[in-house]
Amino acid sequence: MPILTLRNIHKRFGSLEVLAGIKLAVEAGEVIAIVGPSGSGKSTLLRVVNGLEPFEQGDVELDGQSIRAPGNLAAIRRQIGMVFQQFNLFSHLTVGENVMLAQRLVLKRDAKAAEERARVLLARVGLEDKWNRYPSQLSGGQQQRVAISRALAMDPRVMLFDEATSALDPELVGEVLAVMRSLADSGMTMLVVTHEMNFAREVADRIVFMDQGRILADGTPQAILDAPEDARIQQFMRRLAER
Amino acid sequence: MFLDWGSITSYYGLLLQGAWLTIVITLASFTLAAIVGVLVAAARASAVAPLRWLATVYVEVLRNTPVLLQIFIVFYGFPSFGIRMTAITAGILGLGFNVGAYLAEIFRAGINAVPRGHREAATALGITPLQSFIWIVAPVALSKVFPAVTNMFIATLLGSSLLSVIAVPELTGQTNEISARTFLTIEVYSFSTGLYLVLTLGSALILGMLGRRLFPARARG
Amino acid sequence: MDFTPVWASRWLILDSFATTLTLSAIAVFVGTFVGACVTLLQLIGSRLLNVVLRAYIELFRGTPLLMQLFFIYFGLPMLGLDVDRFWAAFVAISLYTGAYVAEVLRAGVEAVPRGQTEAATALGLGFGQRLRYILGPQALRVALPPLVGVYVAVIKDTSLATVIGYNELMRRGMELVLQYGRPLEVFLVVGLLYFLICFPISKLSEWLERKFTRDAGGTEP
Repeated sequence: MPILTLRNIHKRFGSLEVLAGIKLAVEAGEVIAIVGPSGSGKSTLLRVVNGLEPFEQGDVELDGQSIRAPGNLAAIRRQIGMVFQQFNLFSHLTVGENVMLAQRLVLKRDAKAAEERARVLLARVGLEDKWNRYPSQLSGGQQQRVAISRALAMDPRVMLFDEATSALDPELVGEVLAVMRSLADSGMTMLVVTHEMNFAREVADRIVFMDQGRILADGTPQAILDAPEDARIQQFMRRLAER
Repeated sequence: MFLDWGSITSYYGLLLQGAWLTIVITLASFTLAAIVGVLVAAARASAVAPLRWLATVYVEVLRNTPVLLQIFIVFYGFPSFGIRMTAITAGILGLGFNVGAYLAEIFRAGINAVPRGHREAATALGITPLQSFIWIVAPVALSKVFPAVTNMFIATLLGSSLLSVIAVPELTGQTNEISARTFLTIEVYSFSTGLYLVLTLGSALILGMLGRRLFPARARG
Repeated sequence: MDFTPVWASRWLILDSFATTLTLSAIAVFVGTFVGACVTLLQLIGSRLLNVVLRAYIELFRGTPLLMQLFFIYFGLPMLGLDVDRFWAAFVAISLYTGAYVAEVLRAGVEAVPRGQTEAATALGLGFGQRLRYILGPQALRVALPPLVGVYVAVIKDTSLATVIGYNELMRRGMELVLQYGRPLEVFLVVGLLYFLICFPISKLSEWLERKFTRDAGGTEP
């Protein structure tokens, strides 16, 4: 059984249909890269998965539990971690406090357990020495690695990455991708909205290509990237190559 | 011109008592104002339309009429409804309600200045709206508007002098009283002016240090 | 509620309202002039002059207007200067306004990036030209909304002139209350009159603020 299932999701902003019947099944341990032109609904889809964005039709299920069932939303959110394009670290809290806060408030861990967990995760992304720093004192790449640790501290079963490297200076992209890669290697289930085609090719098990709120293609990286059948995908790949 | 500084030494005690009452009134009014400010700001952000309107009317009326008038209404007008109180209580209420209207607007601006991503990240982590407000939105908002809040505290301190008009013996009241009794007008007013400067500049200094301690530049977004 | 006494005194009330408006207008004009002069002198920047100007601003912003009124009304005669109620109110409120205006203008000047003045100097513009074409217009855009806000405060603060017996709107209200009782009705009407003049000006200030924020390409909070 898939760990995460999206059933025929429809979402509208006014007259614009941003998601026009999205169906997707994600197996445990799978890494799925979601690619496509901007405005195709990729980010909206991620935000729908953990309930940040309301949607009109369809359903999201985690382990067969519907996000629409009363009381389920909070439980599902807790099990899905999210990493944002703009990091969204809490500016008034130190690195350590950022990683500890939700553990204490949501999982009700005691201070010691939360700190232990936070230190392990920060060490894993190479930032254990930044414990007392504030976000404003870190580079973008470091902030994003803290944000990943913050999400992982909740022991999520699925991680969502919403253009996690798009706001970074080019020289800082690599350090964040490396963290994401090792996370994928450790068996984490991941949905990754990205423009980094090399990352998608090397790390993803499947690539989902979206355009105008629909899934145009869903298959192995080789199938989607090397021999795309759809004309729109071919055009998209050409534009990327020209950049 | 002959200034008689020697003769006012015997009134220092009374003036310092007045200054102490000024501090007490200021703290009481400002505490009330902070509570009113939070409630009114919350009402203005409420989903219930009549509550929003009511809060807006409150803010506009209190900010566009003289605070002295508001104190008079509490002190002389409320007894018409059978609500009687001492002058000092009436003054604290009038001043607190007035400053509360300003604080409500300041808090609202602060909450609007909290980056949307902060709230989204909290939601995505499973933090409840109430927890998010207490641990993330409120502290970040306060860090953004702390200088404005400091200004309002000093405005409250200065506004407390209005209580002298309803015969509360705070610093201004004591000063008038002693001046009228002794005719040492220049000396007494100069001394009290100095006391007020100590209080306002002192508050600015202390609150400035508190602000830098609570919200260091590196902890702001 | 019984508004008959208020209605019977309507012309008296309106007459005092006119007095309040006159006093406000004079204080606003003179205060703005004083504040502008202070800011200009600060820009010229002799060190000793700056200390004096700073002391003026701190003195009038750091003490209650009520104290300033009393000091001038009761104190100046002791120095042999004969001041009547109008002059005391006028002088105190204008100097008080001037200090706040100077502070607002200074913030406006400081908001203009240093590079602007440097570029103008590099182009060979003199002090007067820099002020008129570069610094002034940019500083005024920042300062105008809060400046209008200060004017609202001045209108409300003229109510304090009542304490030295100057016969403006607030004083008239108190006299009517003493004469007829009915404090609630009288003060509500008095408050309404203040509101009628202050509310539109407050809105003007907010509108200017939004307009300038928008024109500057900034985002509204």
